[in-house]
Amino acid sequence: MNDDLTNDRDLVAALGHGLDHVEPLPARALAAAYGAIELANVDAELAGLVYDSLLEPAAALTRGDEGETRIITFANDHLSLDVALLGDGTTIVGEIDPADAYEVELETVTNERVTILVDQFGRFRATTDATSFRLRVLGHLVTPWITR
Amino acid sequence: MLRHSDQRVGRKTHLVNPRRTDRPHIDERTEMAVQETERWLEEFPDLVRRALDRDESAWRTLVDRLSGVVWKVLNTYEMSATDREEAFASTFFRLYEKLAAIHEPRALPKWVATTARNEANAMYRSRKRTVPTEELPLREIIPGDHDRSMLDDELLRAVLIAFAKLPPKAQALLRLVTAVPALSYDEIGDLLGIPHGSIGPMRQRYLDRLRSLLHPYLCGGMT
Repeated sequence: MNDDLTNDRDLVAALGHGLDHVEPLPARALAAAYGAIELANVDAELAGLVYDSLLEPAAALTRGDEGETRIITFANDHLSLDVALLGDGTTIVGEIDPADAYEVELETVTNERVTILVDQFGRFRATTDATSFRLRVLGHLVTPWITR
Repeated sequence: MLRHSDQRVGRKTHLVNPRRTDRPHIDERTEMAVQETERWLEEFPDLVRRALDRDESAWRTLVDRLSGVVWKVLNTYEMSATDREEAFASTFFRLYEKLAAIHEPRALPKWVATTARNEANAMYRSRKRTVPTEELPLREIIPGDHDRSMLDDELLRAVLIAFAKLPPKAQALLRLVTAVPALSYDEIGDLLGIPHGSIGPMRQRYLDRLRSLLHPYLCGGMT
């Protein structure tokens, strides 16, 4: 009989079972994770990370309470893309090089897609509340997932 | 305290017979978890290979088997429900991106646990707009947080009420100890920033504390 929980293994199992009951994994989160295979970057459009200001050693010293702009650069064989994540936590400003009026989409991990207008100089501006997203320059480039 | 908590949710305070439950026998459940973990680890290489070939069912199985570890890790930290869900999803997006580069599929539980922690930390720093070195605070369950849940099992509810009386560090460590597939002491130490050699003794101390908090219940003293 093990319901007296004198055995550590039984106590751990009871706790695990109890936590699974009261902290269930939401179906929506699981569905989003399943979707990773459909949304995966498998083509030559995937861009590599060239620069991320957050990874600079000096970042810890210069960032203030207000939050500063984070600059990230991605590139593949076709294009490079500079992304600025502004300190307001929602605004994204981008510039594509070489410049053209590309179509850009912002995708979130919950599979929402927003089309972003790009001007003739390859520049765009968008806002999103999502903390994890990626940008796709249709037919040319897709970034890895960015966590703000 | 148990009685008090029970009253809060309007439940019967008299525990008729704690052993009469619909729960699978705990011992059987544990054995099952151990065997399942071993079988799962053996199947990971094949699942990874098939998922890379875009076999959707293999990927779903992989997600199913790693979701418990990821969710346990994310529940260890203080964050909003929305952020927790998003960090869960983005952990698996990162996993799929990196799947081809993972040479030791048996290390997948560790990989997703670390990635989940990093995702949660990144969100925390972004929200706080703070220096990149600041770490996520540990979540603290307090008595009452879980009482309203639809957990009919008296014994498990008593365990959770006792758990809520432990300090945050003890809750974090014990929560990670319950993960299936199991995380090693070294992995748990890395996640919590605790020296590896301390995890075993701390685990023992916290389990003993949990058991002593449960003592009145286990002795049938609850009326």
